[in-house]
Amino acid sequence: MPTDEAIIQLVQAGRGREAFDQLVPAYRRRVFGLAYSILRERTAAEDLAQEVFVKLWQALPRYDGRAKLSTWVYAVTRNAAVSALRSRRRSMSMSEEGVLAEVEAIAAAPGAEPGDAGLRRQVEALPEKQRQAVTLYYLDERPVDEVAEMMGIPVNTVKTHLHRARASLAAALGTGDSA
Amino acid sequence: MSGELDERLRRAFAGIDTSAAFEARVAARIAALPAAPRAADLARVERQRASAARRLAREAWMNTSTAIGIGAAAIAVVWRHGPAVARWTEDALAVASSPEVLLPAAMTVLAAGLWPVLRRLMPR
Repeated sequence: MPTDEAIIQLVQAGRGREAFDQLVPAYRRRVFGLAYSILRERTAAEDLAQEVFVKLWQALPRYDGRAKLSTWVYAVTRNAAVSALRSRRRSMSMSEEGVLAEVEAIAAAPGAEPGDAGLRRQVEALPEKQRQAVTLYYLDERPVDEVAEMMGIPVNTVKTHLHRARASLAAALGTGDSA
Repeated sequence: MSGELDERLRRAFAGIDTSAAFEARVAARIAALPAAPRAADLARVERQRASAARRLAREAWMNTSTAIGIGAAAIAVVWRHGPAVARWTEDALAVASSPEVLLPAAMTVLAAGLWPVLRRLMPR
């Protein structure tokens, strides 16, 4: 997997095409995961992730390396996802039923177990930031500091969100695990 | 944190990923973007810019040459025909200082000076 430094060097050398070809596989999962954690729907998240990469392609020649590459990519993704979420809420194209239907579909995917649907429903019922932290943390098993960078909030706040989310989930599922 | 809950959460999110054609779709979207300015267009703009720069330089040279030429001619005339020029100047000043000539001349100069300003103020 190419490093951020390698990608930045290519950008600064004017080799934007090569830089972008390395950027997409390096950030595909993270951009998609962040979009998914905000939009809560796989198809919409994938569409948005593609849109984000088009934006990055257009903006890459102007990237001056002052901000961390990952910070820049996450900021572009967050802004695009929040904007898409707002317009979706206005048009009401994605109802709560739509989200739940997707949850069911994912839970019915190969490898999923019957209890997973209930757990996903409980995750969907969490407050927004807790749900987003849980999604980013478990989707790719990202470290907490990276989840914090993706969400644009302090590490300790992410830890608090995760702690509260686990406690809520454990209580809701009756497992008695809350620590 | 319970290992069991952790494991269930990992399993619940497993399999959520982009489609296999993700990168191809990104490439297709980029290919569909309006084309960037072509090299030929950029070269044409550069030629126009260079041509305009040459024209301005030529005009500046011509203006300087004209000013030097007129100045040199004036000095030569004064040098060779000094007394006649002095007489002619005195006669011209005498004529110009009479009210019959001075007033219309002043009005003409004033109108010529104000004309660009008046033109801007006039309705189109």
